[in-house]
Amino acid sequence: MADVDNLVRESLQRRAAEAPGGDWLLAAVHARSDRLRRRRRIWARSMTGLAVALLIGAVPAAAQLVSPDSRVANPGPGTVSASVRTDPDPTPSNPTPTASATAPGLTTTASPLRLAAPAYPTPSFPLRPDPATGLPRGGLKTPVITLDSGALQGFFEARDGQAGADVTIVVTAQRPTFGAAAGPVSETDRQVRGHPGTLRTVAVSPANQLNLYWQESATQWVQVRTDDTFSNAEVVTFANALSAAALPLDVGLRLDLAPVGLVLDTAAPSRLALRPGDVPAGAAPTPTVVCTLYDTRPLSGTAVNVGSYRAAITRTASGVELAVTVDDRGVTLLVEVSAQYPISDADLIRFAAGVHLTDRAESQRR
Amino acid sequence: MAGIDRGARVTDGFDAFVVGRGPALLRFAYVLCGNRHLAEDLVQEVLARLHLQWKRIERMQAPEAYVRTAVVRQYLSWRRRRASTEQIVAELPDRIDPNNLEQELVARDEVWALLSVLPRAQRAVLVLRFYGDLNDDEIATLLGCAQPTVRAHASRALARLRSVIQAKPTVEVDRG
Repeated sequence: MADVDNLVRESLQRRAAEAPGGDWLLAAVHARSDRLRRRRRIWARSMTGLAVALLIGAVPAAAQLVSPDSRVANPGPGTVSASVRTDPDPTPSNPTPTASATAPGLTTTASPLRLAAPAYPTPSFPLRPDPATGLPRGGLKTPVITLDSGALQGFFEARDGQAGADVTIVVTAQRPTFGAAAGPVSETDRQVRGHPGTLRTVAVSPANQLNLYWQESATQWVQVRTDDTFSNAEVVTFANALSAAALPLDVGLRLDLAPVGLVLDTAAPSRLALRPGDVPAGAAPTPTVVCTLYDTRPLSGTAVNVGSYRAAITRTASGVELAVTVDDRGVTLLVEVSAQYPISDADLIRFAAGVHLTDRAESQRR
Repeated sequence: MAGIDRGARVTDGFDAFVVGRGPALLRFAYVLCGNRHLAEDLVQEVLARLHLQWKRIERMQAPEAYVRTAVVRQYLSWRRRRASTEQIVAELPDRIDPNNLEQELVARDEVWALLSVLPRAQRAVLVLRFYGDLNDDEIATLLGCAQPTVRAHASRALARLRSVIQAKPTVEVDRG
């Protein structure tokens, strides 16, 4: 026995000397840590809008299907940058779908979307933490407020990354549902703000994830998500101290034009999506019109211009994409419209020309 | 940016730990996985993930033990995830192929080569026992399994190593 034991011990100790040195380690760890943190913040902001499988599913024809409206709203005051400019002599709208406006193989009888100045309501975030609780330690930074698939989300980053903990508050119309957990789950009943609530704990390393949720009103469910830097009692204290607020969305894109009948479904620094007004938030099918900012990428498809920017249109059976290279911001704006809502090239370009990047705009990788 | 502020604050204890104990962690990761690049990746990943929790970890009685535990678990987890592409050999062959053995003998460390084809859990137990100098109880706690499981892993691993080493003369190759 001892013979093999010794061989293993000696081998491991001898080979350990061949391990890589650690001169570079600190910088590499910091770089990776920063990447992880950025990824986490992006996740929190957009709630991984990748779940939006665009341009599929049968969407009820909620939008008005009439001839195009040529009205174009003026950019409002305070617009930081109108990166996608309208042509000096914009291409006139096409009142009827052209051959190129209908996806190959598509049998829909729908008519083009009608574009008009956006009339949908823009929600605000209804809750604000109370700093008087002293939770978390070190306090919270100015939140990032986003709307994702109809769910309002406030990401409150801890000022103290070690003693504090980030808090995400999610407000939805429906009771939250949970997918597969990354670890063992336990749930306990808690009284929150006079309502019965549930504290859900997912045991994962290095910190257990806590989610306290309750029904605040007939149409409002609230979740407070954090980690076990908070004690269970502190999560309840934090939730009990939330006060009413009207925090504005952090939107990266602003529209001059929007299809009539669609409402805001997702609004985040890198994404804006619209869904039919009669489709409940979070329900399939997915949004009808989606605008996303990506890191600059090559164009493919039929070359067109959106204002002074190079762009390309690609039509498929599932819908149409217009990619616009916004050189001066180093991003590509991708506009996607479902096949259930045929839109002419001219109207698609007109819509894209009315998409403005705000100072909160951020691109994402695809 | 918030991230920069936070990064600047954590430099105290965390940076000192990485500078002071990083080389030892790399050695530990290297003997655990047997690959320099994987060892670097393993340690970077674990430290980066623990970075934000460092204040709490620092307050522990043995922060380095916690980090080593995280390295082991990350290693086991990675090996599972990458199993389809890395072609991990789950069990040692009954006899080493003479051609492979020749390469391993040329590498002048037969045991090291044999460790590389042990199942991951068996290798981890041997590393923790013979390199980490942990007893079975400590290894069981670290791996989240029972002591008999640790003993079984160690016993099987050593038995297999022994059987191959003893079989070596039958497949000795001409290195001249």
